[in-house]
Amino acid sequence: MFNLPQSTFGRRSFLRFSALSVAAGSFLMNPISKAVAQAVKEIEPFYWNACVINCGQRCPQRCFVKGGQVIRVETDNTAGDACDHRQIRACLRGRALRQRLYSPDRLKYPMKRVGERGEGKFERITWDEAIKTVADNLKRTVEKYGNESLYWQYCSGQQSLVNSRRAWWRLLNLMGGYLKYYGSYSTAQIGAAMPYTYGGRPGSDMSEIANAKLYVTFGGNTLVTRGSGGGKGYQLECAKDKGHPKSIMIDPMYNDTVAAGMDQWIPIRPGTDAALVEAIAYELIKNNWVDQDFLDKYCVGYDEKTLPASAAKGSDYKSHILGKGKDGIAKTPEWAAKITGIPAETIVQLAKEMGTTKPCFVSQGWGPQRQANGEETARAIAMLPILLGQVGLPGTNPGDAEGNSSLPAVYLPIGKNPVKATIPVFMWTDAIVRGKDMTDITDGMRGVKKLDHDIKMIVNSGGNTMINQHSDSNATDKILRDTSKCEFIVVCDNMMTPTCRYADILLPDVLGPETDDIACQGGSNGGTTSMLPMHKAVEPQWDQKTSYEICRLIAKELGKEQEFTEGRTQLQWLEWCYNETRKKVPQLPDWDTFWKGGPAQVYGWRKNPVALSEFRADPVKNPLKTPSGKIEIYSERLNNIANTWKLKPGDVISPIPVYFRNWEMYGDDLQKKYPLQCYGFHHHGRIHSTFHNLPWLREQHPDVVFINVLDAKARGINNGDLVQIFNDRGIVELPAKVTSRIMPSVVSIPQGAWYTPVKKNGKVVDIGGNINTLTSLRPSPLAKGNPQHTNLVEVRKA
Amino acid sequence: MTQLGFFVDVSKCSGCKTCAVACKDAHNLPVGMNFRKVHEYAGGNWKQAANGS
Repeated sequence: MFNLPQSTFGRRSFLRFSALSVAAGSFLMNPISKAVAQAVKEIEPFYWNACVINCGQRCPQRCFVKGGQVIRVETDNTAGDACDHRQIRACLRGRALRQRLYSPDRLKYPMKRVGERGEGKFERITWDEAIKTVADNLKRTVEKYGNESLYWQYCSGQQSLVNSRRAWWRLLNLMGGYLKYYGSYSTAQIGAAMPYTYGGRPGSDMSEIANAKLYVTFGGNTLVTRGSGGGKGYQLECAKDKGHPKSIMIDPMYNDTVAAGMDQWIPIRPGTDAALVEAIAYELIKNNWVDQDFLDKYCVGYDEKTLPASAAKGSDYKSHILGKGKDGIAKTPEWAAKITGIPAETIVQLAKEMGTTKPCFVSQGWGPQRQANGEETARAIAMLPILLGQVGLPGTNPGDAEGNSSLPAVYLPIGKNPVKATIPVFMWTDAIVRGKDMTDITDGMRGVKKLDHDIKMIVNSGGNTMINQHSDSNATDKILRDTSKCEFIVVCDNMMTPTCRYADILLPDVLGPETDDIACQGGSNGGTTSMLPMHKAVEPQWDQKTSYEICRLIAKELGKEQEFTEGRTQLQWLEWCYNETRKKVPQLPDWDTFWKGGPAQVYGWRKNPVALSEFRADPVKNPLKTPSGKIEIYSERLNNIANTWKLKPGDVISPIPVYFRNWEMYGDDLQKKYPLQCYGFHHHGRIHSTFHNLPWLREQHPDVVFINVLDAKARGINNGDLVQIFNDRGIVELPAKVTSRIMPSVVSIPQGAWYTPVKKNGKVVDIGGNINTLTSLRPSPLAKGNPQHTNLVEVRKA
Repeated sequence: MTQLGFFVDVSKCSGCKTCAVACKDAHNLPVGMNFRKVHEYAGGNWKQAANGS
């Protein structure tokens, strides 16, 4: 149980960040900053650019240039400061653009591997040799093994319209296609599970929180994960200021969104959200706070009345909660307290508030679902608004993440990929080792019943998933090092990332202000939508080329240049993409105005901020895309999958969302050896692994492991001590942050630090602090997704 | 008008430290030199109940 500090500050002041402001008088200016300030005054115009890393938002940047160098970065100044039409202000990462651009880690020349794969030894080669080698290997792989053996790696690091992964997809499709993936490392479990409940993933706009009386979020750390000026974090603050709903955060950590002013923090053990939901459901049913009319009219499987004919007796949700289902356990607050670590009286109080306060807006971040039982958790959380009838009304949300607006931007066309085989995105290491054995009912293969091929070549451009963001870096390292399995790896990037070490050919891309491009708003931007011009402000410093140009050259080598370019240059493709977008979004200015002007924001693109309001108004006329057209609390489709798929021991796929304890969760026998739960979280100083190598950001947000004061004391660990976090998969070394902000028996590591294995006393130790040195390659049951928050570890002083 | 200082509503601060980085960019400051500093202050304590909560 967490006790608030007894102080005069009150609850909201439990944690505060204090900014020490200093007067910006000239007495503080050093000669360099004076010169920069003077130069910024002298040079007009600046160049527009945009930050296109995968944070789910995109922010304009203004680059001030002198002597061929970007000397300062400012952000959007084209709008006012309102809650709707506002400046899309770049965060600290966008502000640190110059440190990326002028990083000593930039890839300068095309290179080929000269040592063992993974060793990181390379030699400079000519572009001619690089292009020919890649083209030859593409041809060889396709001819010898087939297109299913050619894999495009999951890469999300460069999200602009033309000079991005789009160019690579276009090229690979001209080669006859490649093995596809489905899902993502962000939302594998919730993306797979939620459509079984709702037929999709509906989300109300963040602004609807202003119309709620109660805002409850499971792990929605919005001010960090959506922290840019154009993102949902700002929208959340606006909504809270406008409507003053009571706000409650359920999270293992007192995260920075709570610190910025939420009313209550309920600490919960990772992976146990569904148990909390079931106890709340128990209280709602017991106290008659469920909306029975809503459940009867709009839902399938709440009680026996609406259970499908195929379902077994007692398999409805209500029976499960009251202990009349298969397991015979009543899901009481006392039952859940032992699992979640939340005192029963806190659960009772939370249930009472949710049961008696309307409108109630329930949401979840993407952390709770990134677990070995994440599919059940995602659907379970949605049960709360469903039981309360808080769906499709103002001030409510169906229980998924808050929604987004998005302009239908037209990106560089990629052609068609005729390859049918599609693997779960997390299963590519399996597809290298045993692709031939992968099937639909064992490994979630789609498009084919059986893969019949191993991955023999990987193309990776603008991403660091391959070794850093995938699970179990030490095991993945071994798989990648075996050149008899995956025979050829090409990596294109702008930075010498850990993934680059595994390249056979390394291609240097340009970065941001070194070429022309366009960015559209990201996929998690909340209410703002925009098109952002990215102007070439400076020349590439070394022998780098744009991805588009690299792909054009490879296409040329393969005799497909005309098909690749269709006679257009990169800039002409930009104009084409923009004009095609404008056909769908006529509010946008014409090309010349846009390209010469600056960011084009479109307001009010999403017409209806309340998700499922049409369904609520008339469920017959506006059915959901589920087989029944209703909200499927009981899913027959899931029941069929549960009956036909071959699952590993411990895995559960359930027709109704249930809490179950999977491997390496709280209560597992393995806790005798590794007593602490360990999960990763997104922090301010990186987006996934991008920005890791920038000293300004590491200075502000140094990598640490969060450990509770009690756990630290028991291990003789003081704040700042170097510690080792370890399990059977690996050892990570980081300084300890000893804090009350994380619950006992749980430790957490900001995800995305660069994997840096070294030998220490005969053991491999990751001194880079990458959490994936500790995570497992075992996929989750339904999505076959990354369970990267499911880990048991121990911590000791280094 | 001469700017004499910054108004900061710390009740809304999420600790992102964009202000610190923007300042470093504007003044070309190396690591170790920060004109703008953001500090974290945290408190509270924990007790273990018999049922593990």
